Amino acid sequence: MYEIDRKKSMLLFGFLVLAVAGLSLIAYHVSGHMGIEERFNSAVGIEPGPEEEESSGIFGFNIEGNPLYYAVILVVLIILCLIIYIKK
Amino acid sequence: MAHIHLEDGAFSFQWISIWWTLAIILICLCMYWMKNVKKSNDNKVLTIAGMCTAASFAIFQINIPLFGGVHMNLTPLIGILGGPAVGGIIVFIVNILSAAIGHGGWGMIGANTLVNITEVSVAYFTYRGLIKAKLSSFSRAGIATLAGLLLGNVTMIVIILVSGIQGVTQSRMDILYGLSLLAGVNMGVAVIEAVLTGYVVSYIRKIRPDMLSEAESLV
Repeated sequence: MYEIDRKKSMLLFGFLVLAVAGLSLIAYHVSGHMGIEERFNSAVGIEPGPEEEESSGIFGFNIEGNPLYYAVILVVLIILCLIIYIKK
Repeated sequence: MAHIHLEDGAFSFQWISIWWTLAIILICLCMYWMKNVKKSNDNKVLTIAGMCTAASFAIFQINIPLFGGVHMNLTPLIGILGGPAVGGIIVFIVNILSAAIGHGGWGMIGANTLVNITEVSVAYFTYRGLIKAKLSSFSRAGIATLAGLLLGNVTMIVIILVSGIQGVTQSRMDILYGLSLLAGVNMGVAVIEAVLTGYVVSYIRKIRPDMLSEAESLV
């Protein structure tokens, strides 16, 4: 075992978080407010396609892709995890 | 977290084939390493892999309303818990499942797998490498996450610049500028992911330190 320097840990991590968050806010301010696909298309210079109707989701949280397929795959993954865990 | 969010057809067929081939070679190396070097087909590894796949898939499809919309996919956490070999296979599966539900093109799976393998590997090696710095597990995991996601963004930019985008008139310098801003915004989410990963890893270290045995072993 080794002795943890908690003060050094928090200072180093805190400094990195503040630096990255600051740079990120500058990047956001320069590029403006836009959705992920819009941001990507604008970054590489792709012309925006026809507007897709996007659901507002729950508190702004949306699911990408088909929600039904998402639910089905997630349930299958959870069942597989349970089987592996129980077999253990 | 870094993810090439472009439709099929953005890259030429030649580059799609190259990224797919590279990704498959890496996945084969991961499988070979797990089977013949690590010999880790025990249930613990399988359980961690299953849990990480489900969690990563679940969270990756959710569009988080921050900075106009961003994604998380927990790749650094996968790297710290599973290591680069298991992590590489997990991100490949998550990318396939994501394409299956319509999140990302099938052609982009190869390139996105390479981006995510970078995140997984850098996070794992940074977490391990910081053992000697005597930092807390929270800080180590947080710093590893920031490092992993930063290099994941760099890989994403390199892949796009090398491949080029079909039907686009912008110069490579313009694309580099645009993608750098995008990577900057992505890194804002990396901060949140770093804090989240830090908490999860320090919690796991308290209750199930055996789950971190590989990443915690001294180099």
